[in-house]
Amino acid sequence: MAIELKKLRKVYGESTVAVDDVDLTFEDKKISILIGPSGCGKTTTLKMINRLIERTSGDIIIDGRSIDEIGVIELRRSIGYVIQEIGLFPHMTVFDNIAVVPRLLKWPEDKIKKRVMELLDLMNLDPDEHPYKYPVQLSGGQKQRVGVARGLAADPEILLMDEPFGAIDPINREKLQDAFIEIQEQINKTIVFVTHDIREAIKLGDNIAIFNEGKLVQYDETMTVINEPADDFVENLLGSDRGLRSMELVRVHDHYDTDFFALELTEKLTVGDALKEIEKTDRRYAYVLNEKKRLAGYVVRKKIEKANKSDPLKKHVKETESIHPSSSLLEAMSLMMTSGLSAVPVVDDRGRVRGVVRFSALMEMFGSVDLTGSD
Amino acid sequence: MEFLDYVTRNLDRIVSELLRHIHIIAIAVPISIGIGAPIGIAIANHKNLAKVVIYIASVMMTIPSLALFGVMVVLLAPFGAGLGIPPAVIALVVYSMLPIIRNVVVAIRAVDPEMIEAARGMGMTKAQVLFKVRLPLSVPIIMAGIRNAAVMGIAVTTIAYLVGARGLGYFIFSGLSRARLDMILVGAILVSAMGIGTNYGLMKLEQFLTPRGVRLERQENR
Repeated sequence: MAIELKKLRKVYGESTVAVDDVDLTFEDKKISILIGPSGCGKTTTLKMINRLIERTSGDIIIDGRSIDEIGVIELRRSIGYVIQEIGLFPHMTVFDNIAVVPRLLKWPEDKIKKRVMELLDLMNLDPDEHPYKYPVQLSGGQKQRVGVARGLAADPEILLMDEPFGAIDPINREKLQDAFIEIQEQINKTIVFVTHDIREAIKLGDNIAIFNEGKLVQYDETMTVINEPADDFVENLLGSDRGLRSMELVRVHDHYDTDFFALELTEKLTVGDALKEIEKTDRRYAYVLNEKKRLAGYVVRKKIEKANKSDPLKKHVKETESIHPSSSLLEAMSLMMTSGLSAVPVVDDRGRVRGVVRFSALMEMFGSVDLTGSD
Repeated sequence: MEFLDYVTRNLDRIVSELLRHIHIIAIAVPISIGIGAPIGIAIANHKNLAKVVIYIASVMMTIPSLALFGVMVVLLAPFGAGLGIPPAVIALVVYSMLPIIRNVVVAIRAVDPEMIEAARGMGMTKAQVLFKVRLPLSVPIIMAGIRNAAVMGIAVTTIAYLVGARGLGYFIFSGLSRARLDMILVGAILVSAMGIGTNYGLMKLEQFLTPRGVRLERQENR
């Protein structure tokens, strides 16, 4: 569900403008980041969506309806809300914490139980051990996972996250972010995420909204923000090493090319057959998949043109490195450097080839960024 | 020997005054909670109002108990309730207001505002925030206030003997006027024992009522 902010404004007292006529649309099923220095209006903007803070003027439209048309309690129950670990209720077990909203919605208890177990599994928390523990018995990272599970409990279309990983140490923070990216791939929610950490923004965000002094300075896709910062403020926020940094943080997942050519390998498939197929395209090489459609390797057109046409193709398949969608572009780049490949296939957990990352595309993507870091 | 002698010969009276003492407390404490807790809950989030109310409650507590009983006797006499249990219970309720209201206010304020905001953000109504979050987390502090009030009430009830409420005060005041050490001892020992016992019992109750997660958290912080 997309969320539209229309001339959204919040004024405290007579003249303290916290949010100044913000217009933007959080896209459906995307992670949109709100970032900026403290007091920039990012958290106020977030809290106006579930009406923890009432706006002064303007409107917020969810799925075509103004949020005023929905009762405030109903609105909040239909939107997941995740804050720092402190938000867990210490007097409730993990199970009861996650079950809060389903219980408010009066779900039957067996449905709640099923849902909680499902979420524990999704969050990588042991469903045998964890549900009956209390927050105080968990580590910071585990608490935060429970917090995310709680936000997702009633399966809301929208998730609001207010610096959810802010209190976690850097190492566990990275892990949580990685886990969170994988979770979003499965759940596909519309997520609005507040952070003050630009690394986190680049790593998680499909889109980034940059705020300063209540104003929206820039709202674009993450790569656009990196490549074309709207002004000095955004440039400073990104830091001078933004090229390398963003390569390190931007995921292959968002930027691979689905345009590639693959052959399915069978026992009988000969070099001649393969060449015929390849010649229908103008590719210089082709990936080869085995019977289970897993990546077996690749063949280079020029090489097999010289080979005996009745040879089984299998003999000429060369193994190749591959990369996981959740790896960073920097990892893809370094894999290219070490393996000498100009393109790396993207292979998911199930062994399926999802696409390919090409060196040329990387260069294009980061072309306008000074990779040396000196301006 | 004189003491034991007195006890054995007056066992019936001792038991009946003890039960009477408990009776008075057992009426007064629930009434105090019934009045004090809602007041505390209502004013907890109004800083200035809370200040005023707690101030009034603490002034009430400084009234000497003898004077308070005197006032009560005069005020309640037109309703035919100037003597006996009514003035005793009312005095106890008056004295209980400070510990109960103050602790409820402190307890509710001690709940992390971010946690309250999380609760609201998830779609709890005000009542749900109160009953599902604020109050369960406030149990230890509120119970401490109730314990405080009950133990103090046990002492104050002794004086209620003077307005005809009976109770263990009988042994102390009669003992004093007759210069009978054995009687005074019976009263003093029983009142003290009751105070200690009540304190212990309510502490156990507090532990029992405190949600397990909160107990674990307190142990952790120790």
